[in-house]
Amino acid sequence: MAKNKTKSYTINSFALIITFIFAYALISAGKINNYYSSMLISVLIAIIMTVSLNLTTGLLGQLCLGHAGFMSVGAYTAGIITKSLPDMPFGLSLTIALMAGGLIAALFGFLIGMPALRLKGDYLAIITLGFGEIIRVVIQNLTITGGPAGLTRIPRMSRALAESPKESAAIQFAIVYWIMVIVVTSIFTLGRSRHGRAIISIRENEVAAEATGIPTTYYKLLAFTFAAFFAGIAGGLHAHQIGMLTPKYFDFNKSIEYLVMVVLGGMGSITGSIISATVLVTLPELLRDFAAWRMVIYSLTLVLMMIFRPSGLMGTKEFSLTATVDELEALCHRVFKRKERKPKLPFKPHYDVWEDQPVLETINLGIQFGGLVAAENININLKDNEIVGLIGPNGAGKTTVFNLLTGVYEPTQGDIILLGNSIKGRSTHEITNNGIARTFQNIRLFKSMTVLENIKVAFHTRMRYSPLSGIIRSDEYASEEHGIDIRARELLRVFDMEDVADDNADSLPYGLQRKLEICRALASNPKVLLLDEPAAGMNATETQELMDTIKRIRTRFSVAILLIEHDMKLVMGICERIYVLNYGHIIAEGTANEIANNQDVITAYLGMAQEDKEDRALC
Amino acid sequence: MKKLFLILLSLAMITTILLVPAEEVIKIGGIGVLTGPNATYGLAVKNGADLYIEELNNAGGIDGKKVEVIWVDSQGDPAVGQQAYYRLVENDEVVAILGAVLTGVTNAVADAAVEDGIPMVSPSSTAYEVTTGRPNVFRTCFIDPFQSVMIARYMKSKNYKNVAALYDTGDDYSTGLYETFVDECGKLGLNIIATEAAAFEDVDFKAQLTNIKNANPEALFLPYYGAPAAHILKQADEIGLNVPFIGADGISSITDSISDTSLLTNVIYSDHYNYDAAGEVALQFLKGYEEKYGEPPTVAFSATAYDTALVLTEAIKIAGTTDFAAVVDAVKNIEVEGVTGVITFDDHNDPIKSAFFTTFDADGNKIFLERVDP
Repeated sequence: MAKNKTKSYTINSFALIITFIFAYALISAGKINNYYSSMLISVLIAIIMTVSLNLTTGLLGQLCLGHAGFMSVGAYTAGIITKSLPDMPFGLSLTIALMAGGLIAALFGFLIGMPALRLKGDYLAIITLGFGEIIRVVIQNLTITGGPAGLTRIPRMSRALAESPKESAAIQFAIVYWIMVIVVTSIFTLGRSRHGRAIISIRENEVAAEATGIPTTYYKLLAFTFAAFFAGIAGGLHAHQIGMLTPKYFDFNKSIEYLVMVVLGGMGSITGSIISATVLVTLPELLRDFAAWRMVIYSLTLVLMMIFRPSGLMGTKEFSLTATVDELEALCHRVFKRKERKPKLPFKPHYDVWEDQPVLETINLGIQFGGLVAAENININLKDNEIVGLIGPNGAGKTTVFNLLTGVYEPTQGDIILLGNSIKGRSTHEITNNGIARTFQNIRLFKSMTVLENIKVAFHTRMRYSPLSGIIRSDEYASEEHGIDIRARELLRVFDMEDVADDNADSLPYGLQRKLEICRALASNPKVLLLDEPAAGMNATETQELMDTIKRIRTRFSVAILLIEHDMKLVMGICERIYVLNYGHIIAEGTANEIANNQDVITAYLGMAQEDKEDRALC
Repeated sequence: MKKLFLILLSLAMITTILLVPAEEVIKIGGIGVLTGPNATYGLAVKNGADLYIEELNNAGGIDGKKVEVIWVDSQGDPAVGQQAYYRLVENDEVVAILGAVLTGVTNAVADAAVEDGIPMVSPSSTAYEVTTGRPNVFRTCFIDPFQSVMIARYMKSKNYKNVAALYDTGDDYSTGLYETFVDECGKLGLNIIATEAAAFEDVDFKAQLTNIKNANPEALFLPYYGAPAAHILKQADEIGLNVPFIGADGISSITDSISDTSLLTNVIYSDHYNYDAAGEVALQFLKGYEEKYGEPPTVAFSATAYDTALVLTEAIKIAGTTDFAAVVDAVKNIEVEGVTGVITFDDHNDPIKSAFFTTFDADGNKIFLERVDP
């Protein structure tokens, strides 16, 4: 690492500590009075809320309108606990209360997430909205929560932590500040680990994420539960800041308030969230002197922001201070361990040698959608290292076959055998992990991620470290991440894409986007590669290049390739065998020559007989 | 963070500089809900208190020093209210707190006020618990349990046997009144033959009102604020439920929300005071209020706020200092005649007062019915 980088890191990471010492000293000396310190606490709590909501809304891309609901669960749990443990030292009961508040909120997040996350977009938003309201009404009607009058006389951190009020206020600041730092850092590091990449890939393109081997349901739940956990902790802090809770406080508007902070800061930008939470909490308070106008100014600021910076203050970008965490970890290793980490290269899945038997075989495969038979009695097989074409007129059912093979649709009849085992009924990501990878007819890349990150997402299942390792950046995290960085770059080199590794995927020219998608599919180390119209939209030169690439990867990566294509030059040029599909049935099978002269095929395409030109574009 | 901190700090300094007073004044902090759906109450409180302070200053203030009330808006939010409290105490250096208006906010403010020991008097927080265990927190309004007891006794005195109740499960004021009402009815042998509940911010009460009508009660207990009560009256009229609607002080603001004032003749409620029954101070208040604001006060909290300002300034005068403990002590032992009667405090820091049962004529004017003493 360069010296100046180390220097910049040192400045950055100590900024947190210096800020802390500075503020702590001023509060304990009474230079910052209760008004400012309590505003500061409110800001810190809002930061925890906003950054945690950003995990679901910004990183995962699921609109959540019930974040205040999780906050209220944590707040009430924590408040009830400290109230019922008056004899315990407050520091201890507070610790128990905050943890319990977080855990109960996480439990609620998990329980709500399980059914809710099967839904997408607006539906999820409505469910979370409903959840927030249910929680509020339940709290309002329970005796233990104090009903509508609320829970009062919760010990307040600003006085209960120490004998002297100033000292107590300072300790309160210390607690909330460091919890905020821990929460923000964890979400930040989680976001930069394989788990974070998986979560972001779901936001970018859920179908592609699943097809790349990401267990999307698991990651949605993980993000949701984590966010609820942190919101619960924020709630616990809020309860002990104010000393009382009312159900009305945690209404729909509160959730919207935090959502506004996330949107204003930029969806997915953690530093953006921090800035907007700070501004939006302090602004109404600082504008108090303008009395009636302050809400107008506040609202106007929001409107103007949204007009001139629709993607929020920071967009998805982060402030430079964020490099801190990476470098902090690097320095820790240098200072404390002084040992070189060996990169742990991702393991290669073990496939037996399949010489004669087909690697993939379908037996009377078929699917019905209601009364419509989309595919029936499909019997295709792929031998190792074979390139096979799947052609047919528009609407013949080619993509349906791909969707059956990859588990997007569950077959209503027949079976699919991959490497000797049935994969019927498995989910898409399991099938991907068992050795089938695919590309899509209309390119599905993780657009706002870099080329390199797109590839790394596909390495996901070949890594082992846990979310916790990712958060604390353990050795395991470091060596595995180092390993896939090497592998991902190697793979890009094979495709001559190394120089665009750090570009955003959507900034690539069309041909390169296609190539990247194939490259990403190969990163999951498949035995069978399904290409859905890889040459669509390519010019003659690009198509020629693609043909070379396909041939090259077949030998280099030792995969069987099944491709759907309308470009007959490509199909006839590289496919060793071709299946022809029409109206959901295989109507012909054979070599390029046989197919070109097959009467049924010609009829299927042209609806009449007699055309003898071989390489005519049939579509 | 550091930058933000410096910005905050410099803003703090600017605010402090701007707020340095030109001459010596006694500053009292007023906390109330001045915006949002409950602003009626906050503004009534502000008007009442400002009126008294104006009169006091015209008469020379306290020992020649002017008194100023610095008002902050709680927005009805406990957290905002508490933040506003700190602003008043730390930055404006007020010597007493007048407020807050809504019970939730008062609780949050009182939590902080207890720690500082500052004298605090709420003109309108009627929930019993507000002053419990808080030696420096007082109120000039009567408490919810007291109102419910008085209402039940009033019903008993009218020889009602079977009554009904409709209340709001999401509102602490409403549920608090309802619970004590049930207790007292039990003691008095009054039958509650129908109990219906609605959720907070409901606007359609037809289902509940129909059930009540079918039970055929002699009166309906309605612990609601003015705005929802207006909906209830209109819908009760539509389904032909025609019984006395007996509420507590919160319903007094109904004249702001109802369009057909002829429906109000069925409403009876317990109020903090009534001009027809009150003495010299009340009439003077009424006259002063109409002169200053061009209309008579609608909500009784204008009167209790007037009394609150009176109590606080009198206490400061008696104590001869603005020292917190001395003023708290003076409030505790005070005996002054205000708009709502002679004010003294009991052990629980609540005023000892009477309830004034009031109804309306078809034009929405308040008509005094009778005074019920505890």
